[in-house]
Amino acid sequence: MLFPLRLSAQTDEQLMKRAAQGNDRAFEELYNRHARRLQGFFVRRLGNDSDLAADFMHDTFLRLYAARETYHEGRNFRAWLYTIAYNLWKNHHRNRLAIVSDCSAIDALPVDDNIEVELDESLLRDALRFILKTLPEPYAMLFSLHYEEELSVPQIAQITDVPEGTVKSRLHKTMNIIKQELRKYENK
Amino acid sequence: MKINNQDIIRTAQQLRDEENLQQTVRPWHRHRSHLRIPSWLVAIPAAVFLGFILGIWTKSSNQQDAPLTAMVDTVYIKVPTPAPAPVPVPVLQETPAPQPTSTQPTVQKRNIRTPQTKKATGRPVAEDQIRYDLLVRN
Repeated sequence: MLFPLRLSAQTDEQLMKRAAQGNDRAFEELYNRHARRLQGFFVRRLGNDSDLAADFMHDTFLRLYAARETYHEGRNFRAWLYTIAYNLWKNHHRNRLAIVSDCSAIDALPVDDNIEVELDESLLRDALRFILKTLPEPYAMLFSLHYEEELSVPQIAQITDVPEGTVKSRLHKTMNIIKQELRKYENK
Repeated sequence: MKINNQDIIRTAQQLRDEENLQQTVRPWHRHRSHLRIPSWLVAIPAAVFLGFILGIWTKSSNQQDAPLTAMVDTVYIKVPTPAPAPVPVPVLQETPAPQPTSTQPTVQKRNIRTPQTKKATGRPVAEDQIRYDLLVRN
C-alpha cells in the first residue's frame, strides 16, 4: 500500500499504523500533535504540578511506543492514548490516597436538575476555574475527558471501564454540580 | 447573563487552551532514554579514534621527522636493470690446421725519412723542472 509522503496530512490512525511498522518519524509526528494537550490534561488532573505532568506525559508516550507493535487497524488512537494516561493517573492516585472506588454513594446525592445561574462572563471564568479544581472524582475526570479532551461517551466508557449509561448520567450530574457551585457566585 | 451548559463548556475549553499554551513540551527524542545507545559504547571508540589522530599529529612534527629525513638521505635506491642478453660465443666446429711459419727472420727496412720518435717542440722544461707538455690528462 502506498502512503502519502507528508506525515502531517495523515490521520492519527494512519500514523500509528506506520509507527507500528517501525517508522519512528510517524511516531514523532503523533507526539508533536498530542504531547502539549496531554500534558495540559495531566496538569489539570494532578493539581497544577507541571513537572509531574511532564513526567506523566513522558511515561504515557513511552508506554505507547513500547506497545506500538500491538496496534491494530480500526482502533481509535486518542482513545488508546487516553486509556494509558488514565491508567497512569489511576495508579498514581491509588498510591497516594484511597481513590473512591465505590461511587454509588456520591451518585446517590441529590442534585437539582433545573438550576438557573446568572453571571457575567469574567466572573464565570474565575468561578469555573476554581470549581473545576475542586470538583470531586470521578466527576472531575469525566468532565475533563468529555468536555476538555472531547472524547465521546463510548470512548470514555472504554477508557474508564464504566458502562456508557453510567458515564452519561455522571456527566449530566457533573454539569448540575458545576451549576450548583456557580450559583454561590451570583451575589458576589 | 444566563449561564447554560454551552457557556460552561465553552469557558472550560477556553481555560483549557490557555493552560495548554503555557506548557513547555520537551521534544520527543529527549524522552527516548531507554532507546539511547549506552554512553560507554560511544565514548570508547571515540577515545580510540582521538588517540589515533593525536598519535599521527605528534609523529608528524618537524623535530621528529629530522632524523628520519637524515636516514632517508643516505638510502641508496637500487634500480633493477634488465640483465644483458648473453652474447653467443662463436664456437668453431673444426679446429683449423696450424699454418706453417717460416723460420727465416723477417727483416724490416727502416724508413729513414720518418723518424721513430717525434721531437718535442716548445719549451722543453719549465722553471719548476716539470715537462707540462708531456703531461697527459686522464
